[in-house]
Amino acid sequence: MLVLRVLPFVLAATLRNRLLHQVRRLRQPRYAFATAVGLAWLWWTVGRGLVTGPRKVPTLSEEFMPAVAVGLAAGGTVMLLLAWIFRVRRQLAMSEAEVQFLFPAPLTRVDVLHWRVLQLLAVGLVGTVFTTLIFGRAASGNPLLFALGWWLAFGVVDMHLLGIALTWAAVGEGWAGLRRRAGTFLLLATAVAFTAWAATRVVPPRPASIEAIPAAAARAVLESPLRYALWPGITLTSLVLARTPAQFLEHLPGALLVLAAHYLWVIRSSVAFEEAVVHAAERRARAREARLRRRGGVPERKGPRKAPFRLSHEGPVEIAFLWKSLIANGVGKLLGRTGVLVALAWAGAMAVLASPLGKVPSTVLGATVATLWVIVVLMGPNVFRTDLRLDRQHLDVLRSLPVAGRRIVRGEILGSLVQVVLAQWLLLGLAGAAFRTPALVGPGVRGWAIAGAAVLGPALSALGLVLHNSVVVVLPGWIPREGERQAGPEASGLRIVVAFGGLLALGLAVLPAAALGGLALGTWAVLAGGPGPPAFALAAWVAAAALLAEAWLATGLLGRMFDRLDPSEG
Amino acid sequence: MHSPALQVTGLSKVYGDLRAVDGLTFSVAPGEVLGLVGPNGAGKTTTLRCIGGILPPNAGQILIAGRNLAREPVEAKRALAFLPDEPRLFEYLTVREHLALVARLYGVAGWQESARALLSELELEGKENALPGELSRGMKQKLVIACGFLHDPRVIVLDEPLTGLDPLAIRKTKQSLRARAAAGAALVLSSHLLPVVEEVCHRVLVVAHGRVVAHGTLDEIRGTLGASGAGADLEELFVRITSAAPEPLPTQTVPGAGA
Repeated sequence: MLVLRVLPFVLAATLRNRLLHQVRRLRQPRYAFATAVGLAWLWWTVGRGLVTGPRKVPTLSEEFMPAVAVGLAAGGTVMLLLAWIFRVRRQLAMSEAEVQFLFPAPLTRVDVLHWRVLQLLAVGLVGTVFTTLIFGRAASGNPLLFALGWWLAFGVVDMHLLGIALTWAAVGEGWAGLRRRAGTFLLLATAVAFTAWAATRVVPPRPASIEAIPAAAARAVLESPLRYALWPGITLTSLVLARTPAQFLEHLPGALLVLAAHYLWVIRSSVAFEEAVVHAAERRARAREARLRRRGGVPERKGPRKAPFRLSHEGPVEIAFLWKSLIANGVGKLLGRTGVLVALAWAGAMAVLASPLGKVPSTVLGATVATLWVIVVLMGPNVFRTDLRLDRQHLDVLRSLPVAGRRIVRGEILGSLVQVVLAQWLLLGLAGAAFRTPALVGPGVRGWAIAGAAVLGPALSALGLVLHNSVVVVLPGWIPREGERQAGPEASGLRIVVAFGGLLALGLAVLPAAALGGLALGTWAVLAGGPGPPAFALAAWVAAAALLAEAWLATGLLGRMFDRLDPSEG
Repeated sequence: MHSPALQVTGLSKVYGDLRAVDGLTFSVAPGEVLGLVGPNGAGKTTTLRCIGGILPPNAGQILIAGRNLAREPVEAKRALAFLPDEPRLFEYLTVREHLALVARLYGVAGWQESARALLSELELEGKENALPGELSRGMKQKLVIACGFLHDPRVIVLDEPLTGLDPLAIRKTKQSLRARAAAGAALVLSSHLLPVVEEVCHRVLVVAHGRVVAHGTLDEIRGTLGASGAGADLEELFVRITSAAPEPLPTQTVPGAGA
């Protein structure tokens, strides 16, 4: 088969060139450092055990094996059913290069399908190696058997997903395609109906203790007709979890049968899938190009997006960046998100208060929302990214603007900051409303707490955003371009360095603010004879002012670096 | 009279409710260059993609070097080169490896020599070990052209092949296309650069709304416009013809795949 001669060549050349590309980048110290950190992490997590011999690794208890196998099989079956319902087509997606080189080449449709199947298996092999290194011994105790079982099981899952994609592609052809796939849909409907019926035949287990629940539940399933519906999944997971060659060989014939059935199903799919593949590849290419070509960070989407406000040609340039960011994120989307959040939070709160749980002090509810607020304060800068991180592709355009670097940096950050602050204030309002019921938190305390948090949260987030954006300015090559895949030790090290470096920098930056806030609190206590709620609010404001001052200074410094930045770096 | 290297009969392609190509019929003889022109959305790229074996047509027949593309896809595509408008390359394959891939796909014996000549012809010498990320847009386009020419195809389908090329490269590519035609290859060239089409192509096929609105040599097309067409260049003819093209008919039935 021609494909068997071509695909290994492409995969081997790709792997080699990719490695060479990464090795060449080691000449730059920052990439060398990231790679060293990534390799250290790999060594720490998996390498040590391979060199120093088997360590004592806690493995899955034998008695839990059936329960784990049944649980994974049931979970996998549900996931595949969802893939049918949601018409998952990911496995059919080929790259634009594959479309351009393979489709006009003297290959049959079956050849191209073989290419895709073999490619999925090859990619699965790489994933299998990493999964085995990390989980192999803990899961089965025998890494080699685990690797073989895992590869085979996920090969089946990939092929099933490919089969789903081909089936839906056939349906896209119209009635003719639907007729050709009638047998598949009939089989699917029968399997779903049988599974549903079999599930009703499971006798509810009566375990003697909580610990006995998994084993009892697995026994109940295995003694019911449901075992037939879950048989493919149970066979594959049993293969993955096999500890001895005997156990592995016991399940291997069944697993190979499942694999063979899937292979035949996919390869014999007489589907003109080219159109679906071409459209998927084009969509991906267009999205990528749109990201690469769009100016000012405004993504190209279907239909125009409404501007949040009318932008005047006069006034601070930072407002123009805010305006752009709000459009980029979609004002409607933002308002929609906020609306959904409010509606969900409100409905949840009402449901809880109206239920018997309503007797639970609403401070619990308030504390939950307040916890969410803390999460948004700390994680928001990582989630809201309509700033320099989004505009990584357009640093050259930004550099060409007749605007000082510090103003560009501040303007870019402003877009994300406004969104984070809106989310925070929304949660604070909800928390305040929840704390209203009990007398535990009096109105005075509540008011001062909200007043303090409403300023401190945004200041903390502002500093977080400055740190996240500083990576783009200081280490532009470390931020992956959109659509760019990162892998290997360099990517792992990069993520570790950025995450830990960010935390360290945030911790250091918070120290002076905390000291000033503490000073303000102490001064109030001395003057007023004790720290009351207003004192805490004052401390929060002072700390927030210090944080904002730091953010302001940092953006000034970043602006200067931005003015000297080489956008082509990396 | 040679039998056509490419024969397209009643080609139709429908996307949902849109009839992108509606019963196109034309042929290209060996050594002939056919220009495919039309306004945006006329169905040019879809037509070329159907000929290139990328998209399956809903109806019609495509014969490449006498082979039916639907029934004998491998044999038909062996004689074909499809050069797309956007050069999409494998991110981590070098220039030489792209050519090696094509050589293997098409079974080109002694491809290294042909590849060297092509890289020289297209001024890509010294870039053999470069990855696509290290090439300019024009160089990528040249690499796609080199890949297309490597197996010495009898039918070459080109969708906007000159996009992104500098003037010197455009001149070289035009010479290259003429040389292939002179050697007996049939070329279908789609381009919005009408002077290039006028210069390179023997005949022109003007499509609008997926249908042929004019077909023939420039003189023949001028002739259909009567006295008003006399002396008009392709641009002038294009404007007159496509302005007068009727609106598309609504899609009624989708013919079964029969190409």
